[in-house]
Amino acid sequence: MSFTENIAKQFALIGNTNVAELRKNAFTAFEKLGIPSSRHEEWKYTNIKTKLNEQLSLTPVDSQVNTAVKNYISSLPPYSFRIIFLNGVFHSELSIVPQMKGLTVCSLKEAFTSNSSLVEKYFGKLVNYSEEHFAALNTAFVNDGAFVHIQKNVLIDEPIYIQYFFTASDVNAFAQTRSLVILEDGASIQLAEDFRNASNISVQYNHVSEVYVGKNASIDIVKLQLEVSNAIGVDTLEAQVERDGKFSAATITFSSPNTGTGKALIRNNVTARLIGENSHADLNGLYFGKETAHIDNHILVDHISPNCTSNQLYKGVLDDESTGVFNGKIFVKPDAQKTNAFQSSKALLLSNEASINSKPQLEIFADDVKCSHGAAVGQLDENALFYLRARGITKQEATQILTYAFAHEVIEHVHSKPIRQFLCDRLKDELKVNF
Amino acid sequence: MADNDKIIDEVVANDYKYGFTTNIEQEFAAIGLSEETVRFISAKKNEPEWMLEWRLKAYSAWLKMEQPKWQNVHFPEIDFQSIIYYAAQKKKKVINSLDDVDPEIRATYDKLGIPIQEQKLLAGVAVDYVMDSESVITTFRESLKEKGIIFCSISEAIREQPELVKQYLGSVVPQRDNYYAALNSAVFSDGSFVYIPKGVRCPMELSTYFRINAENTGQFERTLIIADEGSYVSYLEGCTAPMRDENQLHAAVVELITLDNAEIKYSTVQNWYPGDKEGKGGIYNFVTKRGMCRGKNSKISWTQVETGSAITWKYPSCILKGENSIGEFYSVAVTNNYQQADTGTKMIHIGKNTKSRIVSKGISAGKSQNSYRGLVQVHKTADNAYNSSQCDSLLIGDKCGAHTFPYLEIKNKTGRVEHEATTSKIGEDLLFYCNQRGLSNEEAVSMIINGYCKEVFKQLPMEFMVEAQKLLSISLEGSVG
Repeated sequence: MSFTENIAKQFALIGNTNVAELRKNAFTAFEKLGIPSSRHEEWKYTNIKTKLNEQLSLTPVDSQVNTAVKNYISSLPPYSFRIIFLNGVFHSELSIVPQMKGLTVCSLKEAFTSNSSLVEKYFGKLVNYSEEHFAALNTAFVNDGAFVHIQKNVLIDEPIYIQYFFTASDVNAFAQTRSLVILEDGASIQLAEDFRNASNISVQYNHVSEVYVGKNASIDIVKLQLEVSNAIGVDTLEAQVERDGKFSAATITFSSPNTGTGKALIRNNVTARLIGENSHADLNGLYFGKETAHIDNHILVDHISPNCTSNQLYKGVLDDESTGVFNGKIFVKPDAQKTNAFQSSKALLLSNEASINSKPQLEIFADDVKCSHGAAVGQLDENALFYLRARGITKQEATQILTYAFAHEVIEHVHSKPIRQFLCDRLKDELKVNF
Repeated sequence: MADNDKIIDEVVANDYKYGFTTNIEQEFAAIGLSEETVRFISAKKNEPEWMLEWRLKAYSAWLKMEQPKWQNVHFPEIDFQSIIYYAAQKKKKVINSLDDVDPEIRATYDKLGIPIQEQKLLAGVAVDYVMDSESVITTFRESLKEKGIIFCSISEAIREQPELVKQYLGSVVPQRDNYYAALNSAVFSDGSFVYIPKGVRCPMELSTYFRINAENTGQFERTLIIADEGSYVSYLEGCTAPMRDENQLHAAVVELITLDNAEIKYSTVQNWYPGDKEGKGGIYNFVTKRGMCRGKNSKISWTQVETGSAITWKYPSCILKGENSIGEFYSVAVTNNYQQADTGTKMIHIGKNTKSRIVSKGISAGKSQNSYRGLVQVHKTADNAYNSSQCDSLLIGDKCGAHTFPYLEIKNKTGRVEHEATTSKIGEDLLFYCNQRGLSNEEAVSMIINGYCKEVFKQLPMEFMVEAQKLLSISLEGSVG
């Protein structure tokens, strides 16, 4: 059975369920787009076609909760909100969802019936499924995910923790998960989405998050990909920010030593559309590549309205045979006067087999703007190393300290205190530093 | 603001000052491109058999290629069958002195403001004029000959220096390199050839003026410069073209080769007809320029000032193969009205301790689009490679666009690559400061832009620097952001 036949057959099985019309359109778009090869400009440095399995199974499998999942959940900080998915299926027995006024947190499947008018209004309206290969596939096949709706002027202090576990027993499984986050005017929230391979075999997933930020609303979202060395993951985050809104996102990717399947490939697409005046986007990323991991960050900040600002800071540390890709685009549309947009991408190469491909891009159509980008690739500052060594610190320790300092700058941008602390600890573990 | 609009209108209304045609009897190849055309050109040039074969190989490669689509410039599809690929002047008389040059051509040069005698006498520049496809006159050849320097048309070199040409032609830009390079390889009619022997420092700036002169004639120049061990040469190229309604294609290929300890400095001032203010007409300038630092400690430096052409699409590049070799790229690209530019460079680091520097200044005004596209590649073998890039864009008016597409591909951990780009308009505080001191907006803008481009201009030889500054003010005078 050919790739397309296989996908078409599976699509037919979904039947006439919720958002059927949208699914159909998205599927038609996907049939046309297919899986991108490296000939596609946006996939130039990431050849996902050769890495994905030929026969994909897109139907969700309900799996048993294994000890790895249980152990990880118990290691998490005591979050008051915890939403757990296993292979794209919601597990209420593992989740904690307290009732709070003005806040709806539930599974997307439930929201399709309980909040159908909201879902219909917002679902699939942000992602460009006619051009984005994986957003199209996800929109057509999505089964479940998280739904977060926060009402006008409601402020939530506690971070909402959404955990996607993958333990696929079927090597062909390609989980399609999705988050829909809607902030009404003046609302504020912190959110973490954690993706984790909780098995010892390779997993594949395709996640889409759509985030609507209302007027004067603010969101701080953290994507955690801390155990992805044995995974192929595509993550698409699309946000739309209205007047005076603030959107802040951090993507943290660690690929720790794996079992050596050589298939770790992570692609993050982050898009922020600043549609209202005086809105702001803050996009940060940190990635650690080891062994043969391939980590690709694709960022697009679209300045559509005047007086908006955006900041991007991406940092990578690449070791062994890992490869990093950074593609950051800043678009300034003709109406977006008085835009300030900044971007910085830095990468450290620790091994001669590691490589980085960087493409920071500016496309400016308005004149009264201040835009800049900087990209640097190199090694740790010799002078800084010397300074530390002159004070009796070993070369190895000095390297660890400086790498920690290099990476920590990104983590500082995470607003939520418990998540920031959690990441600091994880970074210390990664670099084996104690202080 | 009304004042500004008026000034902008004036600038936009500025007619192309160098638009005029020269009537000279021409000898044309049949319209269109076929194997016959290639054979015709080769026969016209009295080329040896191996050259014809080389051309035919390029032609067959071109037939199999597709026009590239990735560029950030847009134009109607080019009909390659409606172009005349060869036009030479009919009168073939031997020219001994400037007085023998066709008075029409002399008048053209005068209108362009090229004081040929003065240059000859005062500046000491040997000028190899190319009127359409045929070299008209080569001055100072004798004095160059004394030093063993060969500076002649490429056709002559093919006939008289076959060994050098065979060895180097296509060694940096192979026939099948890209669509337009393949086309050029098949049908190039003339161009310049320079060979600087071992240890010789070329005593003067070598320069060529290209003009596209016959209607519907695409010009396919081929330049090959070889700097042998320990030699140095500075080569200037400047262009202006008459006003035309129909778009003209210019697909040149320039190849530079430096051996151990050699250096080539290649400067371009390009001011071809950019089309009228509705964007009609204008030259398509699709050029492949590439230099190869073959030897140790060698250096190639590109400097370009691009103010003309409806579409400029070129990437003067350096392949840094030799250890400790250096590549440089300095560029000012100005677009106004409906002009489009997609230009930049490629720095390919292969050898150890190679260094490269990129300084690009883009200025867009009117409804133009200006793109910088660059590639910095550090190969696994390129230990301690270092690149620093600075790409600035200036926007004048709110209907133009500035784009930056840098590609950085690093495969060596000791490589250091730094890229920085900024986009902004002319600061109002700067203008205010100048106004306060009695400068009009127009003067202030001209001064600020010249200051903004100074880093690039100072790389140009003296006489070009003056011309470049003049061009910049013609293209942009009075534009206030």
